[in-house]
Amino acid sequence: MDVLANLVLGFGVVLTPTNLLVALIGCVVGTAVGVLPGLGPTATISLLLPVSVYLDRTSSIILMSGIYYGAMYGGSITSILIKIPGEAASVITCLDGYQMARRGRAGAALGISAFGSFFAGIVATIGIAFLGPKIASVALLFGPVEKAALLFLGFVLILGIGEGSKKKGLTMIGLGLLLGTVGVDLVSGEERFVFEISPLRDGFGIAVVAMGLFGVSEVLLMAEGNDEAGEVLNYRQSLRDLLPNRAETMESIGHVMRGSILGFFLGLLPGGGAMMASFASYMMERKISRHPERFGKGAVAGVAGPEAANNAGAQASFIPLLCLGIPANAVIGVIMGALLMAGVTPGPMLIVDHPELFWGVIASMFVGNLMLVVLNVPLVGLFVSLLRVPTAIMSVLIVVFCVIGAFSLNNSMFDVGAMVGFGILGYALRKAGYDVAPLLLAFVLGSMFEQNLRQGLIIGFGSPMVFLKSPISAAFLGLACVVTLAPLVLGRFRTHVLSGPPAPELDRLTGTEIREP
Amino acid sequence: MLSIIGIVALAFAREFGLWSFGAPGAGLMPATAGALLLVASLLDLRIARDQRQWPTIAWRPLSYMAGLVVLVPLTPLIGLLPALAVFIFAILYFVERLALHRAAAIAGVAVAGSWLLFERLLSVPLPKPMFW
Repeated sequence: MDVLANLVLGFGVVLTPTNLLVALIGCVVGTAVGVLPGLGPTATISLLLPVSVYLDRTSSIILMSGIYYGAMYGGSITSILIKIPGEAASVITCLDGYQMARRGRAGAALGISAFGSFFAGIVATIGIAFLGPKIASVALLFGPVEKAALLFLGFVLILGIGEGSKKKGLTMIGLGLLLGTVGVDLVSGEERFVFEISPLRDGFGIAVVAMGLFGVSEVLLMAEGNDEAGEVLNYRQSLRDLLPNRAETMESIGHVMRGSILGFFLGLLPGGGAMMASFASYMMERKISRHPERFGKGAVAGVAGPEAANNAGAQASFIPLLCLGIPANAVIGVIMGALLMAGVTPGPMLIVDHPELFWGVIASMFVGNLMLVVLNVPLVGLFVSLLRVPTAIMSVLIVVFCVIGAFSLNNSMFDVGAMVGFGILGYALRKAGYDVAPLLLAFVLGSMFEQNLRQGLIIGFGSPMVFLKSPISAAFLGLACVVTLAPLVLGRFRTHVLSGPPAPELDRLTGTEIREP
Repeated sequence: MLSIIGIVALAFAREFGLWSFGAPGAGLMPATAGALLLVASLLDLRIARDQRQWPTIAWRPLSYMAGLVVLVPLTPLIGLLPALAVFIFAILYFVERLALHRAAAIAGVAVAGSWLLFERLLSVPLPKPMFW
C-alpha cells in the first residue's frame, strides 16, 4: 500500500500543467533525436543541462528521462524504414524490422515497436516502483568477472545471428572485435592501430560504424538495383491495414513480455542498459524460437522482443542512479550531473529525502509512455508513406542524412570519411556473402568485453580461474558451453536416431516454402 | 584480404604486449581478434575454394562510391551543404538520369531542408567553404 500511496504522490507531482508539458516536450524531442542518426540522447541532454537550471528539479529530470526513453522509440523508426539505426540500441531492430518493411509490413513493425515499447515501459515502471529499491543491490553482484562471462555468452549467441555460415559469422566477429580495439587502450594508455592519426585515438564511434555498415552499404546495394531493397513494395492504404494484424499482435505478446522482463533486469546492470538488453532479447528469442530460420527475414519476434527490451532497459537503468547513486550509462551519467547541479545527491537516501522527485519521475514514466503511443501510432501512416519515395531519391536522402549525422557526432569530417569507408567495406563484405550484423554486434560488445575481461584478470592476479570461481560467471560460461555444444549433439542425435528429412517450413504470409540460402 | 588483416593484427598485438607485470597487456584483445579472424577466414576460404566466384560490381554503385569519396575532400573547399548539393545533383542527373530541373530541385530542397533542420534549428556548425 505504501507504493500505491507514493505513486499517488508521484502522479500529484506530474499531473500539473507544467510537468505534463515538460513530459510532452521530452517525448517529442526524444523521438526526434532518436530518428536523427548521430545526435543521441547523451548529446541532447548535455545541451539541455543549462536549461534545466531554470526548471524545477523534478521537471528537469522528467524532461531528461522523457528524452531518453523517447529516443529509444524514435531510434527504431529509421531502423525499420531505411535500415539506419537512429540509436545504438536500435541496431538489432534493423535486422528484422527492415525486412518486415521490405515485405510491405513497415506499419506493422512500427506498430509492434510502439505498443511493445509502451508495454515494456509500463512493466519497467511498475518494476521500478515495486522492486527497484530492493533489487538494485543485486545488480552490484555483477562485477567485471561476471560481466565478462555474460558478454562471452553474448558472443557465442551472436554466432547465430544473421545469414551465412558459422565460419563467416566467426570471421565477422573477429573483424568487429579488432575494429573495437582501435584507439587508446583505457587500461595501459597505449595507442593501438592509431598510426598517428589523432581522431583515431578515440576509436570509431558506434554510430559511424552502424551508419556505414548498414546505411551507406544499403544505398550502394540499392544503386545496384538487383538487391531486394530496390523491389517495388506492396503498401496498403488505411491505418487499420498498416497496423499489426490480429495474428501479428497475438504472436508478439509473448516476445514483448519476455523482452520487457529481460530488459528490465539487464537495465539494472552498470554499463548494461538498453543496448545490451536489445541484443540479449534478440539472441534469446532466436534461441527459443521454433523457427530460428525466420530471424533476419522479417520475424515479428526480432522486432517485438528487442524493442520491448530496449525500452525496459532504458527505464530500469534509472534504478542504480536513483537507489544507489551509480550511473548505469553515459545518458544516466549526464542526468546524474543535472541532479547534482540541482543540489540533489542521488543514492539510497534520495527516496527518503526527496520522495516527490523519486515518485514524480516514476509517475512521469507512466504518462510519458502513454504520450509516446498516442503521438506515434497515428503517425505510422505518415512514416510508412516515406517509403513511397522513389529509390533513387531515397538513396541520396539517406546519404545526406548519414553524412550530416556522422559529422554532427564530433563536428569532424574524419567521422564522415570513416563512415564512407565502413559503407564501402560493408558493401564489399555483403557482396562476398558476409552478414555485417555480427561484425557490428562484436564491435559494440567488444570494447565492453575487453575492459571487463582485463579487469577480471587483474582481480584474479592474472589467473583465468577467477571466471570459474564466481558462481554467476561459471553459470554463464556453462551456458555458453551448452549453447555451443547442444546443436552438435542434437544434430548427431537427429542424424542417427531420427530418420527421414524434416518437413519444409512454410512462410506464414506467402505460404511458400522457406529455403535456406 | 581478411586473413592478411588477421596476420597484421597478430604482428601488431605482439608489439603492444600480450602480458605485462602479471596482468593482461594492450595486445591481448587484438591478438585474440586477429587469431579468430585469421583462422575463421582461412577455414571459410578452404570451403569456398571450389565454388569461388568473384563478385562483380556494377558501374552505378561505383559511381555512388566515387561521389561519396570525392565528397570528403570537396567539403573543406566549398562547404558541406554545397558539396552535398553537388553530390545529389550529379548522382540524380548523371547516374539516375533524372531530368535536369528535377535533379536540381531535389538537390536544392534537400540542402535547404538540411540547413534549416541542422544549422538553424539544431545549431550544428556545418563546415563552411574555405573562403567564407
